[in-house]
Amino acid sequence: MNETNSYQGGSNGIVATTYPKILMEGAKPTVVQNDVATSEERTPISSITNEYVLNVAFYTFVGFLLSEAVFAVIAGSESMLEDAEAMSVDALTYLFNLWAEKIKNRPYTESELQLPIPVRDYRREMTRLYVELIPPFLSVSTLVVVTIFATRDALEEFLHSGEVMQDENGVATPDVNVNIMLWFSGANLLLDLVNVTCFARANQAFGLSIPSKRRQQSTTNGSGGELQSLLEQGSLLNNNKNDNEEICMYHNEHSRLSRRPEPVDSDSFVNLNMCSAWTVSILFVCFACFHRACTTEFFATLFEQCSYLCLITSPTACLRRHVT
Amino acid sequence: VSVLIAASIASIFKETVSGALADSLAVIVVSAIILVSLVPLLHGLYQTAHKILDMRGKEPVIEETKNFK
Repeated sequence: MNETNSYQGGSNGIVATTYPKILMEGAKPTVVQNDVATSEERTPISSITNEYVLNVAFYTFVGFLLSEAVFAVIAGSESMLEDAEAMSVDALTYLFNLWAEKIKNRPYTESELQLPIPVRDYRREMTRLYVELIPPFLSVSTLVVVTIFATRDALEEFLHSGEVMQDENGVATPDVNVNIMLWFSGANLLLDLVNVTCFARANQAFGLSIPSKRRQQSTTNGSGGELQSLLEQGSLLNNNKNDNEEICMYHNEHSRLSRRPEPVDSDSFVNLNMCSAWTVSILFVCFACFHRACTTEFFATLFEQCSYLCLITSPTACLRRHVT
Repeated sequence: VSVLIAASIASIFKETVSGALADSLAVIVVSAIILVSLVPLLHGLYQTAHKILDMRGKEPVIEETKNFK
Protein backbone atom coordinates (compact mmCIF):
# COMPACT_ATOMS: atom_id res chain seq x y z
CA MET A 1 0.00 0.00 0.00
CA ASN A 2 1.43 3.34 -0.98
CA GLU A 3 1.56 5.80 1.82
CA THR A 4 2.40 8.91 -0.05
CA ASN A 5 0.42 11.49 1.79
CA SER A 6 0.29 12.60 5.32
CA TYR A 7 -2.55 14.23 7.13
CA GLN A 8 -1.54 16.53 9.88
CA GLY A 9 -4.05 17.14 12.56
CA GLY A 10 -4.81 20.48 13.96
CA SER A 11 -5.10 21.26 17.61
CA ASN A 12 -5.67 17.76 18.91
CA GLY A 13 -2.08 16.69 18.56
CA ILE A 14 -2.40 14.25 15.71
CA VAL A 15 0.88 14.55 13.92
CA ALA A 16 1.89 13.13 10.58
CA THR A 17 -0.82 10.55 10.46
CA THR A 18 -0.30 8.48 7.36
CA TYR A 19 -3.15 6.98 5.46
CA PRO A 20 -3.47 4.89 2.35
CA LYS A 21 -3.22 6.56 -1.01
CA ILE A 22 -6.42 4.93 -2.11
CA LEU A 23 -8.24 6.70 0.69
CA MET A 24 -6.78 10.02 -0.29
CA GLU A 25 -7.74 9.56 -3.89
CA GLY A 26 -11.22 8.50 -2.99
CA ALA A 27 -11.85 11.02 -0.29
CA LYS A 28 -10.60 14.30 -1.67
CA PRO A 29 -12.97 14.60 -4.61
CA THR A 30 -15.79 13.56 -2.31
CA VAL A 31 -15.04 16.49 -0.06
CA VAL A 32 -15.13 18.89 -2.95
CA GLN A 33 -18.29 17.53 -4.45
CA ASN A 34 -20.19 17.62 -1.21
CA ASP A 35 -18.90 20.91 0.05
CA VAL A 36 -20.01 22.51 -3.14
CA ALA A 37 -23.42 21.06 -3.62
CA THR A 38 -24.40 21.34 -7.22
CA SER A 39 -27.75 22.60 -8.32
CA GLU A 40 -28.94 19.07 -8.82
CA GLU A 41 -27.89 18.16 -5.32
CA ARG A 42 -29.64 21.17 -3.92
CA THR A 43 -32.91 20.03 -5.40
CA PRO A 44 -33.06 16.31 -4.87
CA ILE A 45 -36.82 16.40 -4.41
CA SER A 46 -37.47 17.84 -7.82
CA SER A 47 -35.64 17.31 -11.07
CA ILE A 48 -35.96 21.01 -11.90
CA THR A 49 -33.00 23.05 -10.77
CA ASN A 50 -32.79 26.74 -9.98
CA GLU A 51 -30.61 27.23 -13.03
CA TYR A 52 -33.14 25.53 -15.29
CA VAL A 53 -35.94 27.72 -13.96
CA LEU A 54 -33.92 30.88 -14.40
CA ASN A 55 -32.96 29.82 -17.93
CA VAL A 56 -36.58 29.25 -18.87
CA ALA A 57 -37.62 32.55 -17.29
CA PHE A 58 -34.85 34.48 -19.03
CA TYR A 59 -35.42 33.18 -22.55
CA THR A 60 -39.21 33.35 -22.40
CA PHE A 61 -39.10 36.88 -21.02
CA VAL A 62 -36.63 38.11 -23.63
CA GLY A 63 -38.68 36.63 -26.46
CA PHE A 64 -41.90 38.05 -25.10
CA LEU A 65 -40.65 41.52 -24.28
CA LEU A 66 -39.22 42.01 -27.77
CA SER A 67 -42.54 41.23 -29.43
CA GLU A 68 -44.44 43.23 -26.80
CA ALA A 69 -42.29 46.29 -27.42
CA VAL A 70 -43.04 46.15 -31.14
CA PHE A 71 -46.78 45.79 -30.57
CA ALA A 72 -46.73 48.47 -27.87
CA VAL A 73 -45.62 50.96 -30.50
CA ILE A 74 -48.29 49.72 -32.89
CA ALA A 75 -51.02 49.93 -30.21
CA GLY A 76 -49.74 53.23 -28.82
CA SER A 77 -49.84 51.82 -25.30
CA GLU A 78 -47.62 53.32 -22.64
CA SER A 79 -48.43 50.57 -20.17
CA MET A 80 -47.34 47.92 -22.67
CA LEU A 81 -44.09 49.79 -23.16
CA GLU A 82 -43.61 50.04 -19.41
CA ASP A 83 -44.43 46.38 -19.10
CA ALA A 84 -41.76 45.63 -21.70
CA GLU A 85 -39.28 47.77 -19.78
CA ALA A 86 -40.13 46.06 -16.52
CA MET A 87 -39.81 42.69 -18.23
CA SER A 88 -36.39 43.66 -19.55
CA VAL A 89 -35.36 44.39 -15.97
CA ASP A 90 -36.83 41.06 -14.90
CA ALA A 91 -34.94 39.31 -17.69
CA LEU A 92 -31.73 41.00 -16.58
CA THR A 93 -32.50 39.91 -13.04
CA TYR A 94 -32.89 36.32 -14.18
CA LEU A 95 -29.62 36.56 -16.10
CA PHE A 96 -27.78 38.00 -13.09
CA ASN A 97 -29.27 35.43 -10.78
CA LEU A 98 -28.42 32.62 -13.18
CA TRP A 99 -24.84 33.80 -13.08
CA ALA A 100 -24.96 34.04 -9.31
CA GLU A 101 -26.32 30.51 -8.98
CA LYS A 102 -23.52 29.23 -11.22
CA ILE A 103 -20.90 30.99 -9.13
CA LYS A 104 -22.33 29.61 -5.92
CA ASN A 105 -22.39 26.06 -7.24
CA ARG A 106 -19.12 25.97 -9.14
CA PRO A 107 -16.55 23.41 -8.04
CA TYR A 108 -13.43 24.49 -6.23
CA THR A 109 -10.49 25.53 -8.37
CA GLU A 110 -7.02 24.06 -7.99
CA SER A 111 -5.79 27.13 -6.15
CA GLU A 112 -8.75 26.98 -3.77
CA LEU A 113 -8.04 23.34 -3.07
CA GLN A 114 -4.61 24.35 -1.86
CA LEU A 115 -6.16 26.50 0.84
CA PRO A 116 -7.00 25.24 4.31
CA ILE A 117 -10.63 24.23 4.64
CA PRO A 118 -11.64 27.04 7.04
CA VAL A 119 -10.18 29.66 4.70
CA ARG A 120 -11.79 28.04 1.70
CA ASP A 121 -15.15 27.90 3.44
CA TYR A 122 -14.87 31.49 4.54
CA ARG A 123 -14.11 32.70 1.03
CA ARG A 124 -16.89 30.62 -0.49
CA GLU A 125 -19.32 32.00 2.05
CA MET A 126 -18.23 35.56 1.30
CA THR A 127 -18.63 34.92 -2.43
CA ARG A 128 -22.09 33.54 -1.82
CA LEU A 129 -23.05 36.61 0.18
CA TYR A 130 -21.70 38.99 -2.45
CA VAL A 131 -23.49 37.32 -5.34
CA GLU A 132 -26.67 37.35 -3.29
CA LEU A 133 -26.24 41.04 -2.64
CA ILE A 134 -24.93 42.72 -5.77
CA PRO A 135 -27.08 41.30 -8.63
CA PRO A 136 -30.39 41.73 -6.78
CA PHE A 137 -29.34 45.19 -5.68
CA LEU A 138 -28.57 46.22 -9.28
CA SER A 139 -31.84 44.88 -10.59
CA VAL A 140 -33.84 46.43 -7.77
CA SER A 141 -32.19 49.79 -8.35
CA THR A 142 -32.91 49.62 -12.07
CA LEU A 143 -36.49 48.58 -11.47
CA VAL A 144 -37.03 51.46 -9.04
CA VAL A 145 -35.67 54.00 -11.53
CA VAL A 146 -37.74 52.61 -14.40
CA THR A 147 -40.85 52.56 -12.24
CA ILE A 148 -40.36 56.14 -11.06
CA PHE A 149 -39.93 57.47 -14.60
CA ALA A 150 -42.92 55.49 -15.87
CA THR A 151 -45.07 56.71 -12.99
CA ARG A 152 -44.11 60.30 -13.67
CA ASP A 153 -45.14 59.99 -17.32
CA ALA A 154 -48.34 58.21 -16.37
CA LEU A 155 -49.24 60.90 -13.82
CA GLU A 156 -48.80 63.59 -16.45
CA GLU A 157 -51.03 61.69 -18.82
CA PHE A 158 -53.58 61.01 -16.10
CA LEU A 159 -53.78 64.64 -15.05
CA HIS A 160 -54.30 65.73 -18.66
CA SER A 161 -56.68 62.92 -19.49
CA GLY A 162 -59.53 65.29 -20.36
CA GLU A 163 -57.53 66.98 -23.05
CA VAL A 164 -57.36 65.69 -26.59
CA MET A 165 -53.82 64.54 -27.15
CA GLN A 166 -52.20 65.95 -30.26
CA ASP A 167 -48.99 65.12 -32.02
CA GLU A 168 -46.41 67.65 -33.25
CA ASN A 169 -48.51 68.48 -36.30
CA GLY A 170 -51.61 69.21 -34.25
CA VAL A 171 -53.36 66.02 -35.31
CA ALA A 172 -55.26 64.21 -32.57
CA THR A 173 -53.45 61.03 -31.62
CA PRO A 174 -55.52 57.86 -31.90
CA ASP A 175 -56.63 56.14 -28.71
CA VAL A 176 -54.82 53.08 -27.43
CA ASN A 177 -55.65 49.85 -29.23
CA VAL A 178 -57.34 47.92 -26.44
CA ASN A 179 -57.59 44.69 -28.42
CA ILE A 180 -53.84 44.38 -28.82
CA MET A 181 -53.43 45.17 -25.15
CA LEU A 182 -55.87 42.45 -24.17
CA TRP A 183 -54.21 39.84 -26.37
CA PHE A 184 -50.75 40.62 -25.11
CA SER A 185 -51.76 40.91 -21.51
CA GLY A 186 -53.50 37.55 -21.71
CA ALA A 187 -50.41 35.99 -23.23
CA ASN A 188 -48.30 37.69 -20.60
CA LEU A 189 -50.44 36.24 -17.86
CA LEU A 190 -49.96 32.76 -19.31
CA LEU A 191 -46.22 33.37 -19.42
CA ASP A 192 -46.27 34.42 -15.77
CA LEU A 193 -48.23 31.31 -14.84
CA VAL A 194 -45.68 29.12 -16.61
CA ASN A 195 -42.86 30.80 -14.76
CA VAL A 196 -44.68 30.66 -11.44
CA THR A 197 -45.20 26.93 -12.00
CA CYS A 198 -41.54 26.47 -12.82
CA PHE A 199 -40.47 28.32 -9.70
CA ALA A 200 -42.87 26.30 -7.60
CA ARG A 201 -41.64 23.03 -9.09
CA ALA A 202 -38.06 24.02 -8.31
CA ASN A 203 -39.08 24.32 -4.66
CA GLN A 204 -38.61 28.05 -4.68
CA ALA A 205 -42.20 28.66 -3.79
CA PHE A 206 -42.64 27.77 -0.18
CA GLY A 207 -39.10 26.51 -0.47
CA LEU A 208 -37.18 29.61 0.40
CA SER A 209 -36.27 27.72 3.53
CA ILE A 210 -35.48 24.50 1.71
CA PRO A 211 -31.90 25.40 0.78
CA SER A 212 -31.00 25.58 4.45
CA LYS A 213 -32.35 22.11 5.04
CA ARG A 214 -30.50 20.83 2.04
CA ARG A 215 -27.37 22.54 3.17
CA GLN A 216 -27.72 20.83 6.49
CA GLN A 217 -28.39 17.56 4.74
CA SER A 218 -25.40 18.10 2.49
CA THR A 219 -23.26 18.77 5.53
CA THR A 220 -24.57 15.77 7.37
CA ASN A 221 -24.25 13.49 4.39
CA GLY A 222 -21.09 15.23 3.35
CA SER A 223 -17.62 13.92 3.23
CA GLY A 224 -18.02 11.95 6.39
CA GLY A 225 -21.16 10.27 5.15
CA GLU A 226 -19.66 9.42 1.80
CA LEU A 227 -16.55 8.11 3.40
CA GLN A 228 -18.62 6.09 5.82
CA SER A 229 -20.59 4.55 2.99
CA LEU A 230 -17.38 3.67 1.21
CA LEU A 231 -16.13 2.09 4.39
CA GLU A 232 -19.36 0.18 4.77
CA GLN A 233 -19.11 -1.10 1.23
CA GLY A 234 -15.87 -2.66 2.28
CA SER A 235 -13.86 -1.11 -0.48
CA LEU A 236 -11.50 0.41 2.02
CA LEU A 237 -11.63 -2.27 4.67
CA ASN A 238 -9.48 -4.88 3.03
CA ASN A 239 -6.37 -3.51 4.65
CA ASN A 240 -4.61 -4.53 7.79
CA LYS A 241 -5.62 -3.38 11.24
CA ASN A 242 -3.09 -0.61 11.26
CA ASP A 243 -4.52 0.86 8.11
CA ASN A 244 -8.02 0.72 9.59
CA GLU A 245 -6.91 2.63 12.63
CA GLU A 246 -5.37 5.25 10.40
CA ILE A 247 -8.51 5.42 8.34
CA CYS A 248 -10.58 5.99 11.46
CA MET A 249 -8.22 8.68 12.67
CA TYR A 250 -8.36 10.33 9.29
CA HIS A 251 -12.11 9.93 9.17
CA ASN A 252 -12.62 11.56 12.53
CA GLU A 253 -10.25 14.38 11.80
CA HIS A 254 -11.59 14.80 8.31
CA SER A 255 -15.19 14.92 9.51
CA ARG A 256 -14.25 17.57 12.01
CA LEU A 257 -12.47 19.67 9.44
CA SER A 258 -15.10 19.22 6.78
CA ARG A 259 -17.87 20.40 9.03
CA ARG A 260 -18.88 23.66 7.49
CA PRO A 261 -19.85 26.36 9.91
CA GLU A 262 -23.57 26.91 9.66
CA PRO A 263 -24.64 30.46 9.09
CA VAL A 264 -25.72 32.15 12.26
CA ASP A 265 -29.25 32.41 11.01
CA SER A 266 -29.28 29.22 9.04
CA ASP A 267 -32.89 28.63 9.92
CA SER A 268 -33.84 31.77 8.13
CA PHE A 269 -31.61 31.19 5.13
CA VAL A 270 -33.12 32.78 2.07
CA ASN A 271 -31.88 32.44 -1.46
CA LEU A 272 -32.11 36.09 -2.44
CA ASN A 273 -31.32 35.32 -6.04
CA MET A 274 -34.48 33.29 -6.32
CA CYS A 275 -36.39 35.67 -4.07
CA SER A 276 -35.68 38.66 -6.27
CA ALA A 277 -36.84 36.74 -9.29
CA TRP A 278 -40.07 36.00 -7.47
CA THR A 279 -41.21 39.50 -6.63
CA VAL A 280 -42.85 39.91 -10.02
CA SER A 281 -45.62 37.53 -9.05
CA ILE A 282 -47.16 39.95 -6.58
CA LEU A 283 -48.57 41.72 -9.62
CA PHE A 284 -51.23 39.04 -9.66
CA VAL A 285 -52.75 40.75 -6.65
CA CYS A 286 -53.33 43.92 -8.57
CA PHE A 287 -54.90 41.93 -11.36
CA ALA A 288 -57.21 40.16 -8.94
CA CYS A 289 -58.26 43.38 -7.23
CA PHE A 290 -59.28 44.99 -10.49
CA HIS A 291 -61.15 41.94 -11.65
CA ARG A 292 -62.95 41.66 -8.34
CA ALA A 293 -64.23 45.16 -8.89
CA CYS A 294 -64.98 44.82 -12.57
CA THR A 295 -65.97 41.31 -13.50
CA THR A 296 -68.26 38.52 -12.43
CA GLU A 297 -68.06 36.79 -9.09
CA PHE A 298 -66.75 33.63 -10.69
CA PHE A 299 -63.72 35.32 -12.20
CA ALA A 300 -63.17 37.39 -9.09
CA THR A 301 -63.04 34.24 -6.97
CA LEU A 302 -60.80 32.49 -9.48
CA PHE A 303 -58.30 35.30 -9.68
CA GLU A 304 -58.44 35.85 -5.96
CA GLN A 305 -57.35 32.26 -5.48
CA CYS A 306 -54.51 32.76 -7.98
CA SER A 307 -53.37 35.91 -6.25
CA TYR A 308 -53.57 34.24 -2.86
CA LEU A 309 -51.36 31.42 -4.09
CA CYS A 310 -48.87 33.89 -5.48
CA LEU A 311 -48.91 35.94 -2.33
CA ILE A 312 -48.22 33.09 0.02
CA THR A 313 -45.56 31.63 -2.20
CA SER A 314 -43.50 34.64 -3.04
CA PRO A 315 -42.78 37.96 -1.36
CA THR A 316 -44.80 37.13 1.71
CA ALA A 317 -42.73 34.03 2.16
CA CYS A 318 -39.61 36.15 2.04
CA LEU A 319 -41.10 38.63 4.43
CA ARG A 320 -42.15 35.93 6.85
CA ARG A 321 -38.72 34.35 6.77
CA HIS A 322 -37.00 37.65 7.40
CA VAL A 323 -39.35 38.86 10.07
CA THR A 324 -39.15 35.65 12.00
CA VAL B 1 -50.48 41.99 -15.82
CA SER B 2 -50.42 45.77 -15.72
CA VAL B 3 -51.41 45.84 -19.37
CA LEU B 4 -54.23 43.41 -18.71
CA ILE B 5 -55.55 45.70 -16.00
CA ALA B 6 -55.54 48.67 -18.32
CA ALA B 7 -57.14 46.75 -21.16
CA SER B 8 -59.81 45.29 -18.87
CA ILE B 9 -60.81 48.68 -17.53
CA ALA B 10 -60.86 50.22 -20.97
CA SER B 11 -62.95 47.41 -22.41
CA ILE B 12 -65.42 47.24 -19.53
CA PHE B 13 -66.02 50.97 -19.14
CA LYS B 14 -65.87 51.91 -22.81
CA GLU B 15 -68.11 54.95 -22.48
CA THR B 16 -66.47 56.56 -19.48
CA VAL B 17 -62.86 55.45 -19.58
CA SER B 18 -60.66 55.96 -22.58
CA GLY B 19 -57.88 53.54 -23.39
CA ALA B 20 -55.26 56.16 -22.65
CA LEU B 21 -56.74 56.97 -19.25
CA ALA B 22 -56.93 53.32 -18.21
CA ASP B 23 -53.44 52.88 -19.57
CA SER B 24 -51.98 55.61 -17.35
CA LEU B 25 -54.06 54.57 -14.33
CA ALA B 26 -52.77 51.02 -14.57
CA VAL B 27 -49.21 52.22 -14.82
CA ILE B 28 -49.60 54.23 -11.60
CA VAL B 29 -51.26 51.46 -9.61
CA VAL B 30 -48.90 48.75 -10.74
CA SER B 31 -45.87 50.94 -10.17
CA ALA B 32 -46.97 51.39 -6.58
CA ILE B 33 -47.41 47.65 -6.18
CA ILE B 34 -43.98 47.01 -7.68
CA LEU B 35 -42.42 49.33 -5.13
CA VAL B 36 -44.32 47.71 -2.24
CA SER B 37 -43.35 44.24 -3.43
CA LEU B 38 -39.70 45.22 -3.24
CA VAL B 39 -39.84 45.76 0.52
CA PRO B 40 -39.11 42.13 1.50
CA LEU B 41 -36.25 41.95 -0.97
CA LEU B 42 -34.76 45.20 0.26
CA HIS B 43 -34.99 43.88 3.80
CA GLY B 44 -33.15 40.75 2.73
CA LEU B 45 -30.51 42.81 0.95
CA TYR B 46 -30.01 44.84 4.11
CA GLN B 47 -29.54 41.68 6.15
CA THR B 48 -27.06 40.28 3.64
CA ALA B 49 -25.10 43.52 3.58
CA HIS B 50 -25.05 43.51 7.36
CA LYS B 51 -23.77 39.94 7.39
CA ILE B 52 -21.00 40.84 4.93
CA LEU B 53 -19.93 43.73 7.12
CA ASP B 54 -19.89 41.42 10.13
CA MET B 55 -17.81 38.78 8.36
CA ARG B 56 -15.34 41.13 6.69
CA GLY B 57 -11.92 41.02 8.24
CA LYS B 58 -12.66 37.78 10.06
CA GLU B 59 -10.99 35.49 7.55
CA PRO B 60 -9.17 32.65 9.32
CA VAL B 61 -5.47 33.42 9.35
CA ILE B 62 -3.60 31.00 7.12
CA GLU B 63 -0.71 30.88 9.59
CA GLU B 64 -3.05 29.43 12.18
CA THR B 65 -4.80 27.03 9.87
CA LYS B 66 -1.97 25.81 7.68
CA ASN B 67 -1.61 22.78 9.89
CA PHE B 68 -4.94 21.56 8.59
CA LYS B 69 -3.56 21.11 5.08
